[in-house]
Amino acid sequence: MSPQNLAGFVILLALSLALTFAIWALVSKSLESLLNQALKSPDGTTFYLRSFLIGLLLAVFAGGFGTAFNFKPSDPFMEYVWRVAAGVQGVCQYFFGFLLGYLILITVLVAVLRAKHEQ
Amino acid sequence: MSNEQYLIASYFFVGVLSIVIGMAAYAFLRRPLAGLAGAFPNRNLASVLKKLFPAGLVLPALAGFLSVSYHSCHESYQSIIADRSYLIGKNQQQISAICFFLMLAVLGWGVVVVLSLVTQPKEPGPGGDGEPNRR
Repeated sequence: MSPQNLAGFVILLALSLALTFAIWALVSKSLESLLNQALKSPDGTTFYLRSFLIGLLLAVFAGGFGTAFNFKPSDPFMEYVWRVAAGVQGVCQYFFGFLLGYLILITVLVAVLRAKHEQ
Repeated sequence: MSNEQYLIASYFFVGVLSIVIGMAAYAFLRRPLAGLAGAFPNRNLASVLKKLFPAGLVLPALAGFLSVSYHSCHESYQSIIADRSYLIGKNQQQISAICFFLMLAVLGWGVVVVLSLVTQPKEPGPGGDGEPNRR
């Protein structure tokens, strides 16, 4: 792998990780409160918070490694930019799929456990 | 290093990597799951969940690795090993598939834990009947 291709790959991973930590910073506090309220179990809260973080990181690596950087050193700069953009799009698709699945899961969890606690 | 040597080394390296990634996810989630399972009144369910958990993360990672075929557009072995960038691209696909399958497995385990939490019977409170009747 040429240094240019490696640089493109590292930039893609860095952008994707920045997105991950932005999502984590936005959501983690309120998600923790919600899980504490619904599960009433610190282990349960830790399990679902860690699952969330692992899922986001796996989405980054699935999208990042799914993007091939196989340009020649003579290829124009914009080819690299477009490939990074395609990679970020792939990561976003994985994020979307994971977040959708996770949100459905948490919604079911909260709804069912609330009904159970109210009985 | 020739392309054939690279193919052999990288194939086994990524195979081992898939197991390592699965075990890393297991190590990260093992304690909270054990704590949750420890609170289940049904000890057998807790035991089954705890024992299946490592396999339930390592096997999907391995399945992701194995799901990538080298024969997709190259017909012969010689044409596969002729192109180093094709081999590197396949390794990237394997790592991507490992992460994707593991992501699905983590979500799947979340569903299993939800179902276990929902279906567990209420523990008897103070003044209740005490130990459930086991026959």
